[in-house]
Amino acid sequence: MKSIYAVMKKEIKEAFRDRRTLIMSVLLPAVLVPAIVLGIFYFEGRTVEKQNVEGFTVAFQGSQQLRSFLSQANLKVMEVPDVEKAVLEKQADVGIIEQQTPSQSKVIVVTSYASGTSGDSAVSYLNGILPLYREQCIRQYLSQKGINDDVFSLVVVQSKQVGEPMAFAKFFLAYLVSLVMLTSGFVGNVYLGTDIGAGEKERGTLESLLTTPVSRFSIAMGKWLALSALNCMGTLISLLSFTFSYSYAMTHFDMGLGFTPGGSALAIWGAGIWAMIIGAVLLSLTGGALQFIISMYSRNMREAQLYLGQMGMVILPFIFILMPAFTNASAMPTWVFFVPIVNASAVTYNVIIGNVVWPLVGIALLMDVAVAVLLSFVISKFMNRESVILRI
Amino acid sequence: MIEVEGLQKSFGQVQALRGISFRCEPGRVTGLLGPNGAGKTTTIRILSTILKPQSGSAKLNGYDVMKEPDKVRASVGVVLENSGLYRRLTGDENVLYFADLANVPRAEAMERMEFLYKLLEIDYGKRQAGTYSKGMAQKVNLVRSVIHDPPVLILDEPTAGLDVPSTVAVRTFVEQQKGAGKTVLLSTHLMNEVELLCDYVYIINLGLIVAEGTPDDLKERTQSSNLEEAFMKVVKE
Repeated sequence: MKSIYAVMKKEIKEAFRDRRTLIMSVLLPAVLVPAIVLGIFYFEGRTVEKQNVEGFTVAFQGSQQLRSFLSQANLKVMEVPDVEKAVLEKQADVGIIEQQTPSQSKVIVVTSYASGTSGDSAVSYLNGILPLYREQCIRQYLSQKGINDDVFSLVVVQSKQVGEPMAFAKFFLAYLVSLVMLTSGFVGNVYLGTDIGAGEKERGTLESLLTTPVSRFSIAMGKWLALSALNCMGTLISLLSFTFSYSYAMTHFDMGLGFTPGGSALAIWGAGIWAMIIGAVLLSLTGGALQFIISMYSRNMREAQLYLGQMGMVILPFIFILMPAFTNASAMPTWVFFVPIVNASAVTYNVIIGNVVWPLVGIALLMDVAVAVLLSFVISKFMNRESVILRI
Repeated sequence: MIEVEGLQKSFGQVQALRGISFRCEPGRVTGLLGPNGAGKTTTIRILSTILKPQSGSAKLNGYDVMKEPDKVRASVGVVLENSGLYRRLTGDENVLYFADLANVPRAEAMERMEFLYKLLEIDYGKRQAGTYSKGMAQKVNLVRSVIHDPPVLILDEPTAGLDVPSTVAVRTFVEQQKGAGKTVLLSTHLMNEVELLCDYVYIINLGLIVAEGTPDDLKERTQSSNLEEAFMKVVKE
């Protein structure tokens, strides 16, 4: 144990003296993650705010009646000779052309830019209010014909939301935390992974290390645990900075989704934090083991970087496993807890949405600890292979 | 003491060692000479337990490299060709890291480090190893390899690429180790170094010991005026 600790301590000390490691494991998660989260929420909030305050701009061709109707609905109406051109050139969020047909009926053509979010929002808004205009026109027509317009009272449609109003924010947070945990915890810091095995080979320090009285098992364990600890640290910084910035964004930027400021984000504290820590530890151990094996097998740092750079691709299937639960706004299915790697994220996801099933948490922990033990066995066998340690 | 008997090692189709045997006595510097690819590094790697032999036996300080590798490593200090230091650690930290791995108490390690620093004229132990020249790094490397005071010392090309002052410092170190009764196995290409340091020499070629004796014996037997000439005659036979 003493020698494992000595190897681990030396690896961590060296890592903290390396600027690249500090940037990748500390600075980027601590600065970049909040910058991205706050940036997205800020600009989305600004867009919603702009829409609420200023309204959408409509390029318009049509009757005075429709024009007045749109103006009353808080839309900026801009008469243009060519509606399509105005939309294409983004002078307006959406275009409306109202045409009178020979049979006295009206056709309203709504035009929007094929790939624009403000256009999509404007179309959704118009889809909500244009039926009222149609109703207004029909009432007018019936009145001219002397027909009672009570017919509109025959069917009344009312909408009602059930369930927790905060649910979306909670599922969104749970899903994002799971993804950050999976990517950061499992993939880890590629530079560190490269340095710890292939770097030793390249610098010629590995053979000297192997001639010391300490066993290869201790060397492997010390390096693996150091790599896992450093990856775990980076993951926790990512998760915490993500959670803090998410909380801040929820409190300060109104995205018009009806969230109670701060409420959903704060739901993560307590059990959620413990789930994040345990999940990050388990994922870092698994990812760290694979990183170590790949790095030790590689001839040099360049080869190791090439292989380790692909670890991001390995987690793609796991991301797809997590996705259905989020899109259906439901808890993770039971079978996910039996799948190593992804089950750590699944536990955290369920904890954040408030659906903790302890037997499933136990299964996930057992599976991951079993995988970690298996990997430690593989690592120690790996370190004893001449074809691996002398592959230079 | 190093005792090697019938050591064999192959890498795929290549037979690196074909049953070599030799002995290194305490208080003596034994030279292991041979052209590139002769099997010197493979022998040293087996003696330092990095590689396992296919057959034969090797004992260091009475411990078998196959049966008691941990005890062998505790009894030996190895300086390999191209072995580097940890660049982001200071010289002191490099040395004390190896002391920790060898389970040497900190006070004892500090005292020994100071002694060896004085011997090798090292006054830059507080600087990060990444700032060292090759000679400076090699001197710290020597200190690191013997910080646990092993009875056996294996040196593979310890002066390769060093300037004159560093080479002299390394030779002084080897003499000091010999004087302290240590068993020293020295692998080198430099014949003047062999003549200056080695008490006994083994010449290895194509995985076999092809000649042995004191430097003077070898010169006499091959009727050569210097060791380089003797070496060439032996290797070409």
